[in-house]
Amino acid sequence: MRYIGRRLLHGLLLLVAVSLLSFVFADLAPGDYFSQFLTDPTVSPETVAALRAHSGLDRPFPVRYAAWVASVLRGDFGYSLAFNSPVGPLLWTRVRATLLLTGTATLLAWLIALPLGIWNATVRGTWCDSLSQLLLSFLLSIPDLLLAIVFLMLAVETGYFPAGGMVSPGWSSLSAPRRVCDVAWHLALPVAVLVLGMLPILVRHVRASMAEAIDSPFALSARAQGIPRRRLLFRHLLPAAANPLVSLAGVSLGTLLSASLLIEVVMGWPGLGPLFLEAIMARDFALVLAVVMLSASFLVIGNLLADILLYRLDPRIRIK
Amino acid sequence: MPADSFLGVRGLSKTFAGRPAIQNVTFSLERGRTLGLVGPSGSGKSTLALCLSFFETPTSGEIWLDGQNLCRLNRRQRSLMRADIQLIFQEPASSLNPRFTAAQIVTEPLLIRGIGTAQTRLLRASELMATVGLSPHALATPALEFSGGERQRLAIARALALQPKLLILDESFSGLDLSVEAQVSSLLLDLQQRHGLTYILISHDLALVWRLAGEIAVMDHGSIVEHAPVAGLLAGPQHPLTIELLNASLALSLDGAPA
Amino acid sequence: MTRRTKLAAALVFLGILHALAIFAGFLAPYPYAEQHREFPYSPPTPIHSSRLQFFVHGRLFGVPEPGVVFLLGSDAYGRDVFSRLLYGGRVSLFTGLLAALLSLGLGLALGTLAGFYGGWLDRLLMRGGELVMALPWLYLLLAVRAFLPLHITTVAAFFLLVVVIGSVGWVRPARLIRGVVLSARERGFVLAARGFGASDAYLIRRHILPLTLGVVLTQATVLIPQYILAEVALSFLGLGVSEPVPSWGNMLAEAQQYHALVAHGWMLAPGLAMIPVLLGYLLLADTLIAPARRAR
Repeated sequence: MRYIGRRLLHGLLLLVAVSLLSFVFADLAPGDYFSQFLTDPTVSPETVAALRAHSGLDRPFPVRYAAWVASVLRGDFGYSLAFNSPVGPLLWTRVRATLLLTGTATLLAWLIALPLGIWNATVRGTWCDSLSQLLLSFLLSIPDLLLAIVFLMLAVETGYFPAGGMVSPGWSSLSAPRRVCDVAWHLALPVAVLVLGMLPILVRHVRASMAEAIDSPFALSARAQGIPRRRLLFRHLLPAAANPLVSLAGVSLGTLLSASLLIEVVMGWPGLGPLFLEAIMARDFALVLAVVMLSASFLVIGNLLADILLYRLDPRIRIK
Repeated sequence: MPADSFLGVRGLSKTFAGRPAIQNVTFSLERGRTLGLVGPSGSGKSTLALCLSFFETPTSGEIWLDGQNLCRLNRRQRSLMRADIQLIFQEPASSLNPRFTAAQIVTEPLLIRGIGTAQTRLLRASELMATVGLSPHALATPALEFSGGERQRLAIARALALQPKLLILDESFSGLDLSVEAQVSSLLLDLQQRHGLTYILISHDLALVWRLAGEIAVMDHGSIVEHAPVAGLLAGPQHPLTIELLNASLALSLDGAPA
Repeated sequence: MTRRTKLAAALVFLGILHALAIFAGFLAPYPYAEQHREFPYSPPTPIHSSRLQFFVHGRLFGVPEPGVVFLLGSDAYGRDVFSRLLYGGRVSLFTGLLAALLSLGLGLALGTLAGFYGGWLDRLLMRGGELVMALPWLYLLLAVRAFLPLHITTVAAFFLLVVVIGSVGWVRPARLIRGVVLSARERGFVLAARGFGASDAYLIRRHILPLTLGVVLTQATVLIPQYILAEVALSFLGLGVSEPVPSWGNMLAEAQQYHALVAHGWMLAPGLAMIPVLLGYLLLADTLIAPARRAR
């Protein structure tokens, strides 16, 4: 229990440090949202200064940081100047969209990678394994960007899949089951790209962990005892292979918000990615900060969960 | 007086985090002699070896070598004195960098101290190899290709490079098979005769110590409980621990003859 | 295939690809900015050997005016995709390489210091590293890049990219190297050398750094492709190298005319060119990491 408490504290401290770092960082950026008006001849510098003062952008750093922390604790994530809306609701819709995309893709990728990796580990050294390794290596060498563009190209050409967006026009007037189908139809291509991107690495890791478990002395003796394959697999080998996989799962969880940035931008999925990009281009401080904090939180929480899970699962860590 | 003998140790103590490893160790050793240091594990033998060879700084006490108080030296002087006392570690395998060639290993001390040129160092390497009975043709061979006994000889050759006066061997013979051990022992005796080296030999093996040492010090819980010439010790052990050690040693009978 | 053969094959393969990029100035028939407005989106021109001239204008091959030789077609402005592919390769491949060098250098220096000296230095570096790792790297990259002046000269952009990408990824190499140094520091031969009066610098240089070589090499094979992809992503989004200097990233951005893309398949060339590069580095990584697995 103390271990978990310590890890939680550690995670919290890390998040605070991240927030400070992001704040400092965003602050170092030359200019802010109102800088764009400086090049506009119709807007006087006094007006810009007044706008800045009005938004509180001219207060000293510690004051702004403290104010921000206070408002975050109240649940208020600030105001986005570029989108002219409070950050919270803006983020919420986008985060939901991103999580839908990455969540589906991650789940699917793991569902495929686990059996595939385990099977690969059991047939190591055969031509089946070599072929599968070759295919996966090839897949790993295809950049996500290329895949996304090609898929979109096919979508536009054939019309089988939509070329962007999360819902079709007039979506709200559809019945509930049809609405789900519509979203799924839009989800298909981006999820496919993400899954194909994640698969090779996941399968490699699963295969490696399983292989190590299979080769370990205790597994060999279990086999020598004549324990049937299924029982061997599920009760002996999988738990042994679980450690690195749990860490990997933690990483997967942690990158749920950040893994799909490029895909979302390219394929027009209305998630956090495109929002972040626009916010950066517009120098929208509040939004950039909120997005960075949010995705960093996911990373920290993902790792934390993995640590805690490992602690529960692996007695060896408890002894240390 | 510790300043009179070749090696004099007085009141030496070393504490690690509140736990004393050696307490108030006092002894002296004459030049050209071999002191065998025995005792159960944890008795402080290795700590003493480390203190004597400057790897650890004693918490209190004095060490005198050849009339010089080693604990009163500044850093530069201490660095120079390191040449005089060499420690040979337990594991020859790990104390030699496996990727280094024999020549590199043996001349490393010279290189570190900036002694000589590449040419002269190579010559010295041949000499040292010959001294320990290794073929100078093996100078370019990487260390991992040598056997355990040969590696121990390399370690000795390296230790001799700076012409030390005192050599401390900490369990340097464990892990060597008997024939190799015999070879290395006779090498050490030979070197002692020819160059007047002084040895402190730390070992579990009482038979070995009997063969090589002139006097034995028995350590227990950080202190020396008995210190006597070998023959005298075997004839009339005083301390109960000494008696216990002698009894436990199957290779020795109480009249002093090895089995 | 033995490991040695695979290693040699991967190195030769990658060497050829990089050589093609380095010698873009010689191998490409056209400069990267040269436009042929009369031939927009031209498909790859079939080569009539009788018309092909070699060693002309200081380049390997070309055709006499007013003919054109577009080995991989042309883009919207009539620029030769093949030439731009080679020049773009220079940017993308070497940004990745240099950035990896930076990351590895930083990681080596910091990891060695942290591992060798321990104490507060070690704690500081590890905590700092944890902090950097807690930030999603692509987001971090975008933010770092975007927060710097957007419109800068090409050379400045190139160096900026290298520095930005390289300074984000030093943490994992640093951690791994720190681990190696920590265990190396306690090795017998290091202690023995200390016994002869060796300085810290000597110990690090002669005994400890050689032991980090394995980690450095394997990390290199992992980082370089990642960084190439990072450069491509940044340039694709308009935050990297910009017109008219080609990078595989900004070339791919031009390929986003989806309705016409099927007819202009050659616009995907930069993306396709990345496949052999990534494969090469993958093969290299596999041959370098494999023996470690077997030894376990």
